[in-house]
Formats: sequence, structure tokens, C-alpha cells
Amino acid sequence: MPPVATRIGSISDVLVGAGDRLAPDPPVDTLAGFDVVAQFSQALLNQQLVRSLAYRRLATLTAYAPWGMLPLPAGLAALVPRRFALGLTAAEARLEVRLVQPHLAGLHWPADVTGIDGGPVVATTRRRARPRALGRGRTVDVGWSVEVNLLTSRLDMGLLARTASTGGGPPAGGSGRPQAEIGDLPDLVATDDFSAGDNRKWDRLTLATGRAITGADATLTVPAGQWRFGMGLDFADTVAVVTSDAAAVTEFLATDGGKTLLAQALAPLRTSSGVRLALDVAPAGALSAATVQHFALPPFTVRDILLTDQRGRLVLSLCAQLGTSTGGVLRLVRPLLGRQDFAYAASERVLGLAFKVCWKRAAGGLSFVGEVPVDLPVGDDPEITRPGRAQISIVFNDTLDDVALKAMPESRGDVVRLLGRQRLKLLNLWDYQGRRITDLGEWADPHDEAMVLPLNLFETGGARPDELNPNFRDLLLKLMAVLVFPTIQPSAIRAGSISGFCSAARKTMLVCWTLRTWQDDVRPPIVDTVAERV
Amino acid sequence: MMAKTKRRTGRKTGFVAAFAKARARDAHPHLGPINAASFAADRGVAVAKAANLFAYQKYLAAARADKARRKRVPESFERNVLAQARQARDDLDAFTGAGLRMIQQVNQTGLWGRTQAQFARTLRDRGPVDVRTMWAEIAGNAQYRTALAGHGISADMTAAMTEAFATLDATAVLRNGKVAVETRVAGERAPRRMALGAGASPPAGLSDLLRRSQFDRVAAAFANKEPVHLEIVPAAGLTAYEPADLFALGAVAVRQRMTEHVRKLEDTGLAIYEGNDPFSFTLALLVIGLFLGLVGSVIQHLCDNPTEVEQPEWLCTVGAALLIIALILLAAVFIIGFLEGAAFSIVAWIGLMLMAQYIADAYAHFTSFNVEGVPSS
Repeated sequence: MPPVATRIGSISDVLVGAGDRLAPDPPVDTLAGFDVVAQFSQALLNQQLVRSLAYRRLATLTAYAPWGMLPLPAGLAALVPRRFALGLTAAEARLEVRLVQPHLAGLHWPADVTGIDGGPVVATTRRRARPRALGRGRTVDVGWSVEVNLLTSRLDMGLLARTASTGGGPPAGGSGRPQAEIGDLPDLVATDDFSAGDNRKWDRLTLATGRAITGADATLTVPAGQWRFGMGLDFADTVAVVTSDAAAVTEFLATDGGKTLLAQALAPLRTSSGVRLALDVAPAGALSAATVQHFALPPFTVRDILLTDQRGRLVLSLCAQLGTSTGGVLRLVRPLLGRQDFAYAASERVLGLAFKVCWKRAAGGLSFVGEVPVDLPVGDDPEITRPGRAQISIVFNDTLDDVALKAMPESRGDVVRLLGRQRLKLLNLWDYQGRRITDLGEWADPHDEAMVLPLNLFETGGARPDELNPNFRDLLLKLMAVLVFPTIQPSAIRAGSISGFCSAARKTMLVCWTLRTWQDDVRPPIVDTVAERV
Repeated sequence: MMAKTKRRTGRKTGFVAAFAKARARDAHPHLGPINAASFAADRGVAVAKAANLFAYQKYLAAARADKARRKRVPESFERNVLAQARQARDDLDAFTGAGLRMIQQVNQTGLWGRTQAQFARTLRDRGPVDVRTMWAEIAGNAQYRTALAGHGISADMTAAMTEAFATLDATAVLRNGKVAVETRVAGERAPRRMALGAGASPPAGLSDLLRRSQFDRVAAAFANKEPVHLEIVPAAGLTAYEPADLFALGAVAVRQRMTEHVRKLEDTGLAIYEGNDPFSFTLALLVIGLFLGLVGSVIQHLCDNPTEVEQPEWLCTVGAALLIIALILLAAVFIIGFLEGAAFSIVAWIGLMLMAQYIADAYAHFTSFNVEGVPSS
């Protein structure tokens, strides 16, 4: 990343892209006095929301009533295909209301989060789902696709036999996953829906669809003794506001029966806990309370702000301070994402604590064996030497003495420098003629000395991964994770998207990345060129 | 009683005179061969770049004062300071590169052993001497100053050095027959001490064995701009520091300081207060130490190889004294900075960004959590 003072452009930048020169100043005010600033794009928030709902089996919300039990508005009844009309009286059927495909539909943050009038945020991507006094709290709109379905029972002898032999319980995770289309009825889908004690298989026919918005309160979560923080969602008071192009949907859901079904469908969501909006930021990964206590990690104090970047996109920013620090100024926090999905800025202090914890877990007792050239004295005159080879083992101590950001020459960016101890032991020694020296004398005594490991995340030169000792490469990957993935939940990222900077002067490191998408898996076709044919 | 009388007499004669008296009287050449052409070329580079660095130090102080006076300065002011700093960094790279090449030659001449033996005899006769006294005697003599100006130590530099030495508490003593440097650090009762080695000795342990010839490794890294991370680290158990070690440590430390200075300007602009900037007292001392060592080596080389103009005896003594002052100064800087001792660490750069795909692929494999963040173990 070019330094601030060189990013001077010219008029021709209008014609030719100015690249990074026009980007926001990288190191300036990145942390705004905080120890950690983590920022999330809407895409990343959406991914985490969907993932969290799916993990809690809330990605599909459903409720049903026996067909005919609830009066249907004429518009909805008219949507039932004629070929079913007769069957519905003979076979068992159900009317189902289902909410599927949850997604992040809007973020509403009060203006006074920053403590100033006219702060950078009150933003939404959609109309609010329910009236709530602006400024009371942060709310999130979760959008759903609403289906009004007709379920018809299908007798499955094989399934009956299997269920009978295994005791008849519902299969794990069996909540409404479409499996296969049936014949020439593309909208009729066989499902493996089960309700308690129900061992029948159902065919689903979607009669009409709409959209629903459910609101949730967003709250910062800072679990005691776990050295992490995030943002969770509370759906306790949520209701669904449904809209649809098909009047039958809104008409039905406005009836008492429709309301009841919708409320039943929402019930699991309302009683849920632990749904997350943002990835949990954990600078040292998932830690037990005992580990946090052992390392005396100071707790985080966290604040949040919703920003709008230069392109008008929303950026959720979680800003944390360690212990009793109070230097953070929320109104100075700026969007760091650029075109990316996640940004993590951390102070030297946080990185130091994180690396010390991770070092103990990843590097303690790790040993490496290798050979190095040495100048061997020959005879009694210490001035006279010949080249020899020494095979030595290195064992890293399990504690780090110091972690610091160090300036580097050559404009390759600064490094996170880990300083610890290592124990060296001479295993074998060969002279310049390749003869093994058996009497090592006091050289055979193990020796402890300083161990330096510079980590420059953005370095593309130097030793390549395949040149590294495999154990050492594994260790480096674990240490890199402290910088790149300071989160509890994993994310699939585009490897080439990792960017950021490290500033020794600012004592700050920033890492950004972009989520991997389906486009990353698309390979261009092999181009048949004239040259190749020739 | 006899020794006391002798020591008292010695003090009256002054350090330079006592040092001259302790000089071995043997025939030229005393020293091993040096490639005079490359030595002279490197000397020219070192002298020119040292002058540039001293000029930069003056400019920086003036720019700081100007910024403080004006309260607010335009961006172009900061850009200009940064441009000057980068030029100074290039000058320093050239200076240390030339200096290490010169020292690499001197390492093979026996100069270190001869000069330290002479100094040890002086200390035995005269008793401990502090570096301020040594420098004051040289800087206070017009004849010496004129001669040294001819070797690149200008009046401005002399003044800057005098100012730097005034704040340095470092004394050379003789301990168990070896020259050692002592300095007092605020808050500590006992002085910190570093012994100076006079020449090669058999490697005492594994660390000694692995560190032999590390000077050449550092010199090569500087000369070839190798992709390595060089850093001074604490090192316990080192019994004595050879002059080559001190010069290599000095070169590594001064480059690190200059890098910090430039990066700080890039990221935060010029600090109004000198104390907030890595380009400070320590960096100035290190440059002075390296420069005096080089000038002293050049004079000693000329004295040992009288070609067209024979060097006066007193100048040869002053040259040797400069060498000693340089070693004391460098040693003092490192024992102030490192309680137990210092060594340099050389670590090859690693292309971490080349491992981005590895970590993207492996992340889910080696992290111990489930999707909700509950540790699995």
C-alpha cells in the first residue's frame, strides 16, 4: 500500500485509473482510539444470519392445519387445481403456511449511537417491518419468502416399514427440505416433512407466495470470560409483516385462521436464542474461560456503529477496547471495507495478547531438524577455519516474550515480529570433507537463545511455501489465522482478496477480505487460439 | 603504591599522550593486506554519505522547529520532509554498505588486536577513562581538528559529536586483563558492562559456533539487499564482543532506526518533538560510532602503508584513539539497550501471501470450533 504522502494524482487520473492513490488514507485513524475495529458488509451479515438460522433449524418456519379446518378466502380456494378438488375430500390433506429463504432485509440504527446529532447512520434497505420509536435501539429486518401450501398425504410402504423397524421417530433435521420434483408437475414437490408421531410423507403444492419481514432487536454480545464479541438478534417480540402480489395471501393471513398459522410458524423464532447477525470476533480464536483466566486477558468493552461507505453501502462496525481503556472515539471510525466484506483492524496490544495465546497452543514444544553451514576451526589456531555442516534441532519455547510491529525497509510493509526463546541442540557435525565429527565436546550442550519470527502477511517475495519445513508451514498457517480469521465462525473467502496494511508507527494492523462466491468457481473455457492451432 | 604514583602521573599527561606512549614500536607494515583501491573508494562513499546524514539531521531539527512554530503546515511540507528522509535512508544504506565492506577488509588485518592491546596497556598505566574525556581531548586540539577535517570530520560534525558525547556516560576499564566498557543506567546501582574481544577465539559453545562469520553474513545481506529480516535481539552468555560484531550490530541497528523513522513519517508525518521520533539520539550515536570507526581505520591503514605522504605519529595515535572511541560508543549503546547483551538475528523472509490459498483451504480444518463458536475441545 503506498504511503500517504505519495498518493498524489494528476488530471489524467480521470482518464486512467488512479488505483490506490485515491483510496482513503490507510493508516490514519483506522482504530480511532479503539483496540479492535471489525467491520462487516451486508453480504457477510446476510451470510452469518442465514447460517445462524439454519444451524438453529430456523431457516424454514412452518405451521399447518388439516385441510378444511380453516375457512379459505375465495381467492385462495380458487388457486387449488381442479384435479385436487375431489381428492381432498377423500385423502388427508393440510393447509400449510411456510416461511423460507431468510435474508437480511434492513438495518435500522438510531442516530444517537455516535453521540452526535446528524451522525453518519440511520439507514435501511427496506421499509421497516413494524413501528418502533427511532433511537430506542438497533433493529434488523429479516426478510422471508412466504408460501401458502397444500400438503397431500402420500402413502409410502417402504418408509412405513423402515419407520416401524426403527421405532418411528422423526429423522434429524427433517424440516421441510425439498427433495425432488415429481413428474410433470414442476410445482409439486415431494418432501420428507414429519410432525411428531406422524410417519406419512407429503406432497407439497404451493398455492401462492408473498414476502414477509420480521423485525429483531440487535444486541452486542460480549460473553464473560471468552475474550470475544459479536452481535446477536432477539426475535422475542417479532411479528411478520406480509406483502404479496397475490391478494389471496394477504387476505388469508388477515383471517383469524391465517393469523394463527402465521403465529405458530413464527413461534420457534420468537423463542429462539443465540441467533447471530455478525461473526463473533475472537482475536485469539475460540478460548475456554480457563484459558482466558490463565493469560489474564482483559475483557472487551464494545460499541457499535452503522456506517455508510462512499458507495452508499452499509457497514456494521464493532469497536472494542481492552480493559479500562477509554480512548476510542466512535465518530472517528471510518468505513475500511472498500469493496470487500470484512475488515479487521487491531492494535499491537491485542495482536500481542492473541499471538501469545495462540503460540502456546500452536508452537509450544514444536521441533524442527535441519542442517546449516558453519565455519569450523581447524587445528589449534581459531583463525583457521573450513566450511562444515551442522545438523541441529530447534525446539520453540511455548511462551512468547514480545510481540511488536516493526518497521521494514524496502516498502514491503511492516511486520508483526514475534520474539521468544528456542533451544538449539547440535545433533551431528561434518567437516569440509564430509567426515562426521564424533567428539562434539561442549558444542553438544543444548543452548537457549532468542527466536525471532517476522510475519509480513502481505509479503509475496521470500521463501515460498514449498520451501518451508512442513511443520513450520503448518505453524505459520495457524499464526496467519490470527491475522486473517479473527472470528469464531469460518468463512469461505477469496484467497486473492486478502489485503490491508501493517503500520509500526500507528501500532495498527488492518486485514480485509472478500467472501468467496459462485463466480470464483467458474473457470473460463479453454481458448482455442490461432497460435495454438499453428 | 608504585602503581598509584604511576597512574597519577599518567593522568597529567592526558589520554592521547598516554595512548601514544603505549603504542608498540615495530616496523611497518604491521597489518595484513588491504585492497587500497576499493578501500579508498568505500572511504569516499562513507565520508560523503556521512556528511549528508549530518546535514539531514540538521535539516530535520530545523524542519521540526519550523513545523512547531507554524502550527499547521501544508501537505507539500510533509511530502518534502518525506522525500528528504528517503534520500537520507538511501544515504545511510550506502554509508553502511561501504562501511561494512571496509570493516570486512580490516577484519583480516590484525588491526583490532593491535589497537586493543595498545589501549589495554594505556588503561593499565593510566586507569579507567571515560569517552567524553577522550573525545574532548581530540576535539579540543586545533591540530587534530584540522587533520581530521581532511579525513571528512568537518567542524559541524565535530560540534554535533561533542554535543552527543556530552550526554553519554561510558567508561573504558580493564577487567581481568580485558578491555571492558561500563555505563550507568538510571535506577540501577551497578554499572552495566560489556567486554571487548581482541580477536578470534575457539567457539566456546554451540552459539559461538553458529555465530562465527555472521559479520560476513550481515555484510552480504546489506550488499545484496537480500530478502532477510535483520534485528538486534537480547543474547545472554556472550563473553566478549569483537569489533566486527559491534560494527555489524551498529549497522543493523542504525538501518532499523532509519527505517522506523521513514515509516513513521509516511504514516504519521513529522513529529514536532524529537523524543517522538526514532531518528533521535541513539541513531545519531550509532552513526557517529560507525563513522569514527571508519575514519580511525582509514588513518591506521595510511599510517601502516606510508605511500606518498608519511603520516605524522600523532595522527596515527589519534586514528587509533578514534577507533577505540567508536568501539566504546557502540558498546555503550548496546549495553544501554540490552541488559544481558545483544546479538543480531537473521531470518529469511517468508512469502506469507503465497500461502493465502493454503489458509483459505485449511481454515476450517485446523480451527477447533463449530459454527456457533463453541470450542470443540
